[in-house]
Amino acid sequence: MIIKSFSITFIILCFVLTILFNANLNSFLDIPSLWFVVVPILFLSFLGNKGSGSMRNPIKGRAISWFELIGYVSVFLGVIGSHMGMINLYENFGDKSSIGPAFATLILTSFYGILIFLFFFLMGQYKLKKVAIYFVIGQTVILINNMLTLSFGF
Amino acid sequence: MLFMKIICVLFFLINILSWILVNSSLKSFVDIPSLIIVFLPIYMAIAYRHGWKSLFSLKFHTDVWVKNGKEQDGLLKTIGHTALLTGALGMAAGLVLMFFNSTHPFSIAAQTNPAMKISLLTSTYALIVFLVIVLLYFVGREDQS
Repeated sequence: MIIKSFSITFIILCFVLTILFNANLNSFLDIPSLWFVVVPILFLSFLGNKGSGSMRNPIKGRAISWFELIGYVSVFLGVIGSHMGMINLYENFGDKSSIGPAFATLILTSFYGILIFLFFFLMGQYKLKKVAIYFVIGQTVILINNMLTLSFGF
Repeated sequence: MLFMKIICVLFFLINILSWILVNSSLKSFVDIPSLIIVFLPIYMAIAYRHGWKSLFSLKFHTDVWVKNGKEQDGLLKTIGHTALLTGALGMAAGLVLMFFNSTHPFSIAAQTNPAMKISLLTSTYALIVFLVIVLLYFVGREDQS
């Protein structure tokens, strides 16, 4: 458990230091994306803590544990949030002032989703299922596609 | 626990709805063709796999649907997989419609090219349906004695 918490702290510290050295921390904080991804995850963690038994053990009758479930749901929420950002982006495409917030939602929801997935991946005893990998790859493809579209659009 | 399942799904749906209402407009998230593309195949798949009358004769019993005393766990799998596939197909169909639009080809703005909306909204609806199915399948199982 000590090694686990140390590794998680180390990874989070790495992220924060990288952001602080190369950019502004403010640009990585976006209230709509935080709301979309983190609030449901907090609610799910509350539900998982409330139930009997450890969150690391498999759910009764199902093959995965609460930690894995929360990791998957965070990745799903990241994908759905990036779709929400895409809809906002292409809905008001002519208006250049609305591109920034929409693109921030697009990128930061998937960033938070994958970050929370990584956190719960390290916390739980994970058997990494194919579904989560497909979703992470899909999210990366979505981001690259949108960047290419935007760069050719202007 | 059925109560826990319903509360969890309602929380997620209300969260998404309130997020849309605050950060965007509901008008840009409703599109009738995309709704038809996603939800009609789901209904047809349920009817094909589990019978026409299954939607009306199923009862939601603790954590699985029950029909004639038998567990119908496959129903959730049918709904989830069909939703993901229809989302991918709708996305492809929307992109094809977009690029073959004769008046504004290669226009990615949703105002001039409504097919862009189809390609985005079908996958969004499909992912939301899949998320709801995942929550219904997993949450609230372990407290049952």
